[in-house]
Amino acid sequence: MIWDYFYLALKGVLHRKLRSWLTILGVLIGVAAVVSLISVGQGMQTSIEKEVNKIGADKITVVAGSGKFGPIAGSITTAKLTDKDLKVILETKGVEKGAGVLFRTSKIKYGKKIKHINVMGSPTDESRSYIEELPFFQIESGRQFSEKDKNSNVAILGYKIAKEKFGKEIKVGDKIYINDEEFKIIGVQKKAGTGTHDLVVRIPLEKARTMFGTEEFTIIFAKVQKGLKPGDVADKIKKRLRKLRNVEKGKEDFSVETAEDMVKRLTIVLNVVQVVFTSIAAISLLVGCIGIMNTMYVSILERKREIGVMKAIGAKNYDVWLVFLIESAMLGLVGGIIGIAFGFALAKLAEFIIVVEFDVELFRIEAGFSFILIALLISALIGGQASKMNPVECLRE
Amino acid sequence: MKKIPIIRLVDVWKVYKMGDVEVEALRGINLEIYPGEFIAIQGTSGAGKSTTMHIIGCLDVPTKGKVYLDGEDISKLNENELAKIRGKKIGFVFQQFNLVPTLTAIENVALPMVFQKVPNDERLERAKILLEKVGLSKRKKHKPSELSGGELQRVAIARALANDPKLILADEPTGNLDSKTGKKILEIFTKLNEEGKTVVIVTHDKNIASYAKKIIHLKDGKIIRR
Ligand SMILES: Nc1ncnc2c1ncn2[C@@H]1O[C@H](COP(=O)(O)OP(=O)(O)OP(=O)(O)O)[C@@H](O)[C@H]1O
Ligand SMILES: [Mg+2]
Repeated sequence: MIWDYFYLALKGVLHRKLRSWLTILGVLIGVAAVVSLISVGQGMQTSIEKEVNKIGADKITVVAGSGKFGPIAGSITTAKLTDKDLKVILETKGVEKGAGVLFRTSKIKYGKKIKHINVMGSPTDESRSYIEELPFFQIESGRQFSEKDKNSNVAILGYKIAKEKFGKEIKVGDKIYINDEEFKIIGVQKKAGTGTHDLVVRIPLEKARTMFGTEEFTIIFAKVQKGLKPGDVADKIKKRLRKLRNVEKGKEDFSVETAEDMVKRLTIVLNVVQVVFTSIAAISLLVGCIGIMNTMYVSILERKREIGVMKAIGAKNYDVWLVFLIESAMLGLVGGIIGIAFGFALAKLAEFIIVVEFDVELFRIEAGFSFILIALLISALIGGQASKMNPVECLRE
Repeated sequence: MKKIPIIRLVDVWKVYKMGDVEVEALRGINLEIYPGEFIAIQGTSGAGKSTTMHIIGCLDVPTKGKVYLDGEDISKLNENELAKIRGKKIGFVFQQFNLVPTLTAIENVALPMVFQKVPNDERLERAKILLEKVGLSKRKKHKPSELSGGELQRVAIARALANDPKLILADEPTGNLDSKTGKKILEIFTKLNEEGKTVVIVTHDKNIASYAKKIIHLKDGKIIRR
């Protein structure tokens, strides 16, 4: 029997084909926006948490500059970190070990292909143990750097560089050109799951310093001894660096950040992004809902007579309610389901375009499903509106 | 033995409030309609004919007064109970035909049976018979937009007969038709009455009213002559 109501509703939807499709389109865009933006936003959150978790809570990062711009501050400030700073940091009480690294984007050639890739000067002295402990720099094949590599033209490749970047796999023993200098591959890293570490070429620090003509470090990392608070140790490092660099408190030309600080900073940025995303999503969803309401109210007004007649020939309020509910819900459901599919595809596309893994998991479509609930609610209200109309007044129209 | 009227109106008033102004559409109507009657309610525009018909058809309730259907007071029934009565006992025919534009002729005729939960096969079978009865068996699958005025009104009459009601109410059923087509429609009502249906036709036209066996004259919300 319910099928009779579906039939009546479907006839109503099909009778106003263009209007129905436009309404569905509105809903579709809204739902797709919600699903994709919320998925992307949450994906970013997860990926940041993941990355920070991998670095570890006991890690401290030091970069040149005021630190307001994060790690890139080093490239837009004249202040530099050098071996002196590293020495002071390593000698700070509470620091177990540490390492300074140098980053520069360089021209890499393999076969006939040329790519611009981040090259990392990686320590070969005892500092290297810090790097080798990190989960991102584990070796899949070949070996890490040793003391003997200090001035050799040898390189270790990030996972994606070795496997994907140049179209064919680069293996240990192969040769690549960095800024036109030949380097022999001695190792390939395991997959780290983060862009920074999978898309990197590591060479000995000393080699990098010669090649790039600088003595500076882009970042100095330090590991805090077990049982100590990273925040306290960071404060000590700050104090000592201020003294070394002869700057006043509050006017530091360097920044010391714990993993916790980093999460906080990134979370603030991310929250802004999330708010913007959520607002856009909410607005498009609202517009979609208003679209349904608009279409259905116009439809009810146009069909006052039809409602009057239905009642005159024996339709109860419930019957009228059901027909209009189903009709409205059809618009919402069709738009909602296609929208969820589209949103999912969009989020996957975003994941594909941007290297960060977004973790688009199916449960993120709960946003889409809650819309469908909203649509059903709206439909119920619209059906109620239609069913409450006075038949005599409807027939007088 | 005294017959029980299908419908009995006792001092029925209908007052519409429009802001401060009160419009008295009906002012104390007393009326009985007995089974098998063919009645015309005649009056000028605004006399209260449609209002009377809506109350007879349980589509509207009076502001004051009593309405008895088969001897039972319906003034205390709720909307859904009234809808049930309408569906079973009353068939409406309107001046503007009022067919559902999205449905075919046969689906329109079957629609009242949908609301009475008649199974689909049975519905279509009966709708087919009814369309044959009004001479439209060749137009079953046509949409209202593909039918002429006379044909539309015949579909509407077939629809009014769907649940085999005792009482057929028609508000200006020929108002949108030319006189020749109108005459054919009135002949159908006459035939239905001969077959035992009680028929009430609302009209402003005395020629049309003359088809009925009894004429009730309405003026300014009152019955002036029977
Ligand atoms: N909803 C309403 N609000 C206010 N006044 C109304 C309403 N419905 C009807 N009336 C008034 O009640 C009176 C009777 O109306 P009704 O429709 O019954 O007349 P009628 O005899 O059917 O006229 P017509 O031949 O034009 O259809 C009219 O004066 C009309 O203006
Ligand atoms: Mg009227």
